[in-house]
Amino acid sequence: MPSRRSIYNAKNVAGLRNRPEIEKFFPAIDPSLCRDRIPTVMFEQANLETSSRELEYAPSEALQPVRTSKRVGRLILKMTHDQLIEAIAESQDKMAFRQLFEHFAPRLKSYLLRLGADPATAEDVAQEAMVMVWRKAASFDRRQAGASTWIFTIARNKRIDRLRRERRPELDPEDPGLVPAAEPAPDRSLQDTQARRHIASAMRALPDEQAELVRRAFFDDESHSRIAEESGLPLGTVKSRIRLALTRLRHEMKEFE
Amino acid sequence: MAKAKANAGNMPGEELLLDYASGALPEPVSVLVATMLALRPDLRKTVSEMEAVGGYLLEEIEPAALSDDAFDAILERIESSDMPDETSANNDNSAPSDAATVAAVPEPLRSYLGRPLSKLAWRKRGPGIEEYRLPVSDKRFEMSVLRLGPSRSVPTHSHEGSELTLVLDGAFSDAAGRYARGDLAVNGEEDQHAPMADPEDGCLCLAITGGPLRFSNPLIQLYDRMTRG
Repeated sequence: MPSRRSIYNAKNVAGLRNRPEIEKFFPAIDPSLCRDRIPTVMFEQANLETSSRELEYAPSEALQPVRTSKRVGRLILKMTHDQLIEAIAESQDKMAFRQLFEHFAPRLKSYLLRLGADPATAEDVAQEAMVMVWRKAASFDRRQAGASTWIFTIARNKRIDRLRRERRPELDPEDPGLVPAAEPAPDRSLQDTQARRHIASAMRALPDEQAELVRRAFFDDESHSRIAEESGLPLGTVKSRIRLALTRLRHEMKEFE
Repeated sequence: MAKAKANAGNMPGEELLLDYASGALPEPVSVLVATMLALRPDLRKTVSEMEAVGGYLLEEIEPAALSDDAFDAILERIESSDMPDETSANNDNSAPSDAATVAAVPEPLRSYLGRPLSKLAWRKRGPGIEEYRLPVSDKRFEMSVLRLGPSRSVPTHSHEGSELTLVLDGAFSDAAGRYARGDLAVNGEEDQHAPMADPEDGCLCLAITGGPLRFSNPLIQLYDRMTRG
């Protein structure tokens, strides 16, 4: 039912540029906060599907009930995950943090459960990883990695720290001893969602068995030996299949670049 | 491009990078891999691609329910603490900062050394060969920095399990070829290799041997290498 869903079509929303218009339709938005960002605006209505549209800027204070001429609903201004992390870095935005938390914390818990943590520990370590997300938000650089990749690496390191009780040695990008890349890292911000779609298609293009091996390479501790044990394949075979899967995956990813 | 070989799909050492990206490697091997990455922008790119796969898998995973008060609990945690500097959590602040050490040894290995190259407790292992044994928390491994004078050769040696050798400075050669700064040699238990240091610069390298590196199928690992060709 497009006519009922799209109470703000793209033009309408994009057209709301002057103050009276914005104040009328989006009373919670302070136009002075508008910056050159492109988050998604969702208008949630009881009994209606959600519509989502692009708007110039979405401060999280706007997560409030709004009333338009005839309909009452909740305006959700949904930033990308990258933008949420940046909002935390810029203004310790707790609403932004809440959105990130609601998306990622249950996934982190699931990740830790798969790696063998008991439920209480999994939740605790997921919490600690999210605390790190809050604290380290300023070091997030979307040119280096997208939000989910960045959060994955934080959780991975937290797991090593907490569950294996080891340190996770990492290179230091600011180290004067580091050999720099010949060309600067590409700005991934524009292509982050694209890149994710490419990985998704690349994973789908893998035969099921290989996709599962890639999954297990990330979700099983102690490397490949347990995979070998459980699948009944010789370790050498598991390794060469994972290698094959990775080769195909990276080939697929390159196809999209 | 010199990078082509290391990026080639069927490079066996890629497993090591995957295990680093997924977090499966034990600490000493991670030290070696992270140090290699500091020297190898081409491999950093490979690892960030692998981490992006990890990020994708995290998105794809079936979420697990949290306890009801999970968000309140975390709000309390972030409100009750200031923002302590967590960035130093990975590396000690005791990294030596003298020019010679910084030039040859990048992080994270530099922090693990703890003091300048010139002040390490080197032990003589033969003519023109010195070794500094790093303390390791994981006793399954031995981790050493080796310093070879020009044209010095390590006598044919055997070790339990496999041996990973990362060139930090200078170069060495063995039957499989030449290994320069940032190159990694992986030798199986059975290998009879007799590496010889570069005739001009000698060689400084990080070597790890250990049981868990005893790859189950040594045939695959013979002369495994990760050079830039």
